[in-house]
Amino acid sequence: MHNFAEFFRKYSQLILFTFLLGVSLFFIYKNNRYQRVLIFNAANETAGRAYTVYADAREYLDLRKSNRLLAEENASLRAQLLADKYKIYNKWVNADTTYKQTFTYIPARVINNSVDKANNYVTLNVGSLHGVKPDMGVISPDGVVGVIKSVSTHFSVAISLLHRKLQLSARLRGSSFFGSLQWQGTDENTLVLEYIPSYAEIAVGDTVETTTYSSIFPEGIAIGTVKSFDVDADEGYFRILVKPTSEFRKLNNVYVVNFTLKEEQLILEQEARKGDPK
Amino acid sequence: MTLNLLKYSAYFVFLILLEVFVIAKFNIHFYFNPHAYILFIIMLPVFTNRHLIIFLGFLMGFIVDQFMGTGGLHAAATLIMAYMRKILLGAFAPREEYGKDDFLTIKKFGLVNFLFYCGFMIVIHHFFLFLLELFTFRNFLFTLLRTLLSGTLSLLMIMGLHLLFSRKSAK
Repeated sequence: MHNFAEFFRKYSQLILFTFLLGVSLFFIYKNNRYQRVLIFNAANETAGRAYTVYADAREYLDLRKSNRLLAEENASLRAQLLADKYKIYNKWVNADTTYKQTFTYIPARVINNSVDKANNYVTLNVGSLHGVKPDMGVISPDGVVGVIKSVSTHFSVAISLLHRKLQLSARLRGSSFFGSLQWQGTDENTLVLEYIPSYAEIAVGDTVETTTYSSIFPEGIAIGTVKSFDVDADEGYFRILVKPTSEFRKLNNVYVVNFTLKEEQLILEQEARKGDPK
Repeated sequence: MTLNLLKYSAYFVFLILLEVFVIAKFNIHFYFNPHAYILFIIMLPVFTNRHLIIFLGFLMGFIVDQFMGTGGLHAAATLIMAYMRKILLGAFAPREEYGKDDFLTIKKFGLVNFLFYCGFMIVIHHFFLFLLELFTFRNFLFTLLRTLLSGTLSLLMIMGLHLLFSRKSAK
């Protein structure tokens, strides 16, 4: 017993150090596994409130620009509503067909955001109270921003496009070939689009947009533009470098995308897979 | 004693607020990722209880983690740095001339020794921070480069802040 006490006294600093290191590594591991809901959400409320104060102050500085962007977006939406195609289209629609709204949008403000980490997150000022759920998409007036990862009552945190583990299905506008888009974790202006077959037509400046395969975003939302591309001769695929259209440094007003038929689609897909061998 | 406790509590809070609301918002570049809050651990009096230093290192990192949503990343890096502090002080601090509550000043250290002490502390912190952030040894050179570039920037900030603090405490 005496020896034990002696040992403990002698190595108490090392023991404290090792114990605390274990605790931090556990939290890192937990965070990396995305099972961050418990710890992150508890802190999220407190940190979220602090960030709201900060964002309020900063917003005054950006008011003029935000106003202009919103006005531009309003104008383009108005144009879509009044567009002739809507009326012409109506003529062919049977009166007794009812249309269901498939995508709804929850307006949100970015209250915290980073672009220079290996994995970046965006914190929004809307939460479960406003109908936000995990795996909903986030878009800005310019294009795709990310996907909601965790939600608390008043706040939510989205994985930004600039996160090494976010993979999106994407295609070139005007073509039906789709590939997989991912960030490489170094340059905020470069995403990599892979698995577009090398016989597809492509030019620098082409728009890269969302597909419906992820059932997160509506079809055809811009993600970025083609910066450069080369062909992997062995595999017959393009490796395309894409510049994101959203300005991640200046994110302010965004929308959370709610695909209202998502559950129906997921349940159906699960049912179809039921008989598959695991 | 009580005065010192108040003073260091104020530094603690100030440095965390500065880190979370100012420095983290710079977003300069992936390779230039400075962190100045570790100045708190660097400038604690030379004869502070080592258990306390280790615990404060962990606590400070953990609080920053909660704001950044990084789990235990800063906690681990700051903890390792806090643990290494005694060894670095042994290498660079002058052995005499220090009282129990003395502010750790450049004057007593000599500028070169102080720069080495700060530099090594920063490199240890940044290296483990960036290594654990990527959670792989695969991009090792890349992590080293990031450590050196960000570390240089942090060193400048930390020297500036330290000058500001020591002027305040001299009054």
